[in-house]
Amino acid sequence: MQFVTELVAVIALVFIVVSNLVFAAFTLIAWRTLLNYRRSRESATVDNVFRSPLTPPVSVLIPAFNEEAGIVESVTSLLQLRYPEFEIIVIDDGSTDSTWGVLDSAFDLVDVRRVMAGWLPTKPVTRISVSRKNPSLTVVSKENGGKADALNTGLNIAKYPYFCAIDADAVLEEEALLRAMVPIIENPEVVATGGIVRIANGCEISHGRVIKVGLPRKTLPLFQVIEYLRAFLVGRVGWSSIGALMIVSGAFGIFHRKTVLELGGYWTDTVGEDMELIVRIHREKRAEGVPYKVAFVPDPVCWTEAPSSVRILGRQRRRWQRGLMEAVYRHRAAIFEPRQGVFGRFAMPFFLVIECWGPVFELFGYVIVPVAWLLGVLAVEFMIALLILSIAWGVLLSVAAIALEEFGFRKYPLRRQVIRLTVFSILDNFGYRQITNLWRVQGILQWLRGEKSWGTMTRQGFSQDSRKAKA
Amino acid sequence: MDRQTNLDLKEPLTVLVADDDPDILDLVVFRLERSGCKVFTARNGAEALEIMRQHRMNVVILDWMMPVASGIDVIERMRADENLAEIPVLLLTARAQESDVVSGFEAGADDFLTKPFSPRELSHRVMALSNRRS
Amino acid sequence: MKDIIFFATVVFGVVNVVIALLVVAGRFIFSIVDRRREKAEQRLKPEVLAWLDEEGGSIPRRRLEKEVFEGLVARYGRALRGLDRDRLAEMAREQGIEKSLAQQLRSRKWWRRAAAAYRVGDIGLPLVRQLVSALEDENRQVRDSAARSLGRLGAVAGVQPLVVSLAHNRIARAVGAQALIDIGLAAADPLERLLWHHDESIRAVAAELLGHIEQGSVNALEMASNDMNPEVRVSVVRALGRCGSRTSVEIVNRMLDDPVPFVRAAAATAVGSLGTKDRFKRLVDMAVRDEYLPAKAAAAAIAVLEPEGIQRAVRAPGAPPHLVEAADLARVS
Repeated sequence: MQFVTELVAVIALVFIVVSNLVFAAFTLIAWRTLLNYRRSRESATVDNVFRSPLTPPVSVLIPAFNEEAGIVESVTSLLQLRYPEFEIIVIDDGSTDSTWGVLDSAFDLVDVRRVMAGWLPTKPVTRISVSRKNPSLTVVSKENGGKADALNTGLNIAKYPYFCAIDADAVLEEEALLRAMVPIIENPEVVATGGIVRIANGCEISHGRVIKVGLPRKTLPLFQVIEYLRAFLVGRVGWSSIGALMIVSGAFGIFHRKTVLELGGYWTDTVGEDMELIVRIHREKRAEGVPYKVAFVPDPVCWTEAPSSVRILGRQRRRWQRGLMEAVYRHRAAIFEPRQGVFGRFAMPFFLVIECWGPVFELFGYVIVPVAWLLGVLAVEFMIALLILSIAWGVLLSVAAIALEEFGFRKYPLRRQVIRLTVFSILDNFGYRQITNLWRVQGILQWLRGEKSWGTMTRQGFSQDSRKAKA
Repeated sequence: MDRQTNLDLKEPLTVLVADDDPDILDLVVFRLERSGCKVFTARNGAEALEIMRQHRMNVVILDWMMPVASGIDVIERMRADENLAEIPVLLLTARAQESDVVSGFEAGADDFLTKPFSPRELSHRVMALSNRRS
Repeated sequence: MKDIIFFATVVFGVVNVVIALLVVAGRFIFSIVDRRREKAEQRLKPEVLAWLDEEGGSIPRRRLEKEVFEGLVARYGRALRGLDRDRLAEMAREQGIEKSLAQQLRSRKWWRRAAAAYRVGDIGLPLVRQLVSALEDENRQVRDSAARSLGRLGAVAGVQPLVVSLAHNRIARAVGAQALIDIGLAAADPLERLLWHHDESIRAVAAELLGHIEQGSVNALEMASNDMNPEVRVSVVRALGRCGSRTSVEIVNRMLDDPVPFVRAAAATAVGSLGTKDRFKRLVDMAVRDEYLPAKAAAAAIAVLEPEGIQRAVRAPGAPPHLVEAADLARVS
């Protein structure tokens, strides 16, 4: 018995040390990267990019399902993007509400009989319309097939060399597209870029723009703010700096269209289609031996509404874990394939062990302590010490992420917001982290059972012209 | 010197300039006030329309890309309102493609200036526009 | 073992508290600095603006105000053109900003060099020689800033170095291209020579740029239309589509028969822009029989050349799908 608990303890210890060490290293990398980023703001390439005729045009794709509440505001916001040339394609994925109807009222849609290129197989398209008010807006209606299928349909219709996949409820900053394209403009080898996603709850949004940044009033979204900061400012920056960025958020990502088409488009049989695409890009490009890059830009902001109810958040996290397992497992062979470099030898094993299965170990850690104590096993003090260490380390990473946000961006204007963020970044590890961990384990179980559904995300949307987003 | 004075009009020209970039507002207001105009400012399209409805404008200068209502939206609404339809509009914008110029004039703008711009030139054009309509 | 863990935990705890305190303290300090900066800006704005009428005073001495002042000069300069900008540059030179920026261009820290290179272009100070050497800087951002500023200065002397930097991929394409377009006609000759560069992507960029510079070099483009590489031919035909001379019409018409589909497509679009109906029959043939991209482009060109004709043509049942698409889209815009 003692041997078993000690074995578990050692495994848990290794897990904690490795994962926290990697994140600590990423935190240091993030400091340096953000420092350079701050320094470069004075001489940023952005206004040149806007004026130059050589800036590549972008097709913005918005898959939408039952988005009547917020789709008009979303599209309005996107039409205001500061970018020289782009088109917007909304893919109505068989909505059962009046998504098409509200778009028609707002933008005066006219049916057109377009010839679809058959680059990618998708569910049938029922109707294509173009807005008379803004001819750069196209709405494609099709039979329901899921987000990946909708994106593939968009890819069949998009006409520009790059495309941007955006969630229907996301609100982009005016220069988001411009900034997200900078890595591509500076280096045509970049095939995908992602920007940072921030939580809109508590912000004041009017006419498709965030006019005042604020923190959510409820605690659940507030914890998510901290979580996102840690994930983006530390995680993404870190992975991107070593050339193994595995996730470009489905909420906002830019891709080279031809590359994605050649790879076969999005995989429709997964809930993690955004991650799976990136992983596939890494694997295939490295196998081909072609130079390529996937970049993360910490500045172009996409604001999205976070779930404020436990039930919906839980569903989201279980789905995310499933998506993660599906994407990583599909390409697990990359670990042994030749030429996979830091992606195959480091990132994939890390994700497989720590991100995919780590939650199980962590759960064991939380469970083992009371069990060992009940059994009167000697190793209990050791385990407690271990637990406290992992929590203390976790707190450090959270607080450091807040410090990074303060240092790099200062998006939250009021002092009391900063204090609140700092306080909660400490509390984040005393309960919230454990709950998300439990959800992740549930997600793993669902994946083992072969569950495939998306579940419904009921969103309030930005239904009025100007109001505080759901706090 | 370079101070322009309105010799044609008995009262100062009333001009509205709308732009979400405060630097542009600073520059335009400075030059127009030095030329003897009375200047109103707005930070977005909706504010611009509101001010136009409250005060009589001789000339309106609009940025294209503004929040809430763009320059083009504002022009369209002005042309649809009989009180505002006759007011000359100058579009001041960073968008410089030929298609943009065409769209601007088609929407109803009377003049078109691209950024970076010369405030002096702007002021001359404003004078010219006001003379044309009076 | 246990002791090590406890020790580590305590260390982490202390570090946490320290960072948390630093974050909060930092914010307090920052808000104070920020407010002072805002106030300084409000106070100094009218003084900078007065420079436009040559009535300004001199730059303040204190560090924060000096920074704010120079920042305002650069920001206003960025929005200006013509006499006003020249005035600003003159005053900047008189007040020593030019000297200070020239010095900053030699700084050991890349971000200072980049910021200085950027500002030079904003204000319009003719430090062309320094900018040209900055094009050789080891740091990417410095090079891009220098390129951009050379464009904003309209520096003819910068054309050749810019073209060389572009050719060797030392600066971002979009940035270099914009700078050359800003400089304009003087760039035409060196760009024409680039049409024979060994790297096909450079040839393509050169062709593209020549299309944006007025009175482009039709003869050079005509010769380049026979380039072996299709990407280059696409850029050439796009450029010719913007040029509009009689010769370019002939070349574009000929390229409707190019073996590569996307080149044919670009040629069809160019025919539409040029407005020539010499090879109308060929366009119809492409719209009906050719592959997806060229057929689409040809149909769109037909919609431009015969806006009423195409609407009539698609009313009959069984009309070719690409024509129908082009007609529908034309009705909307």
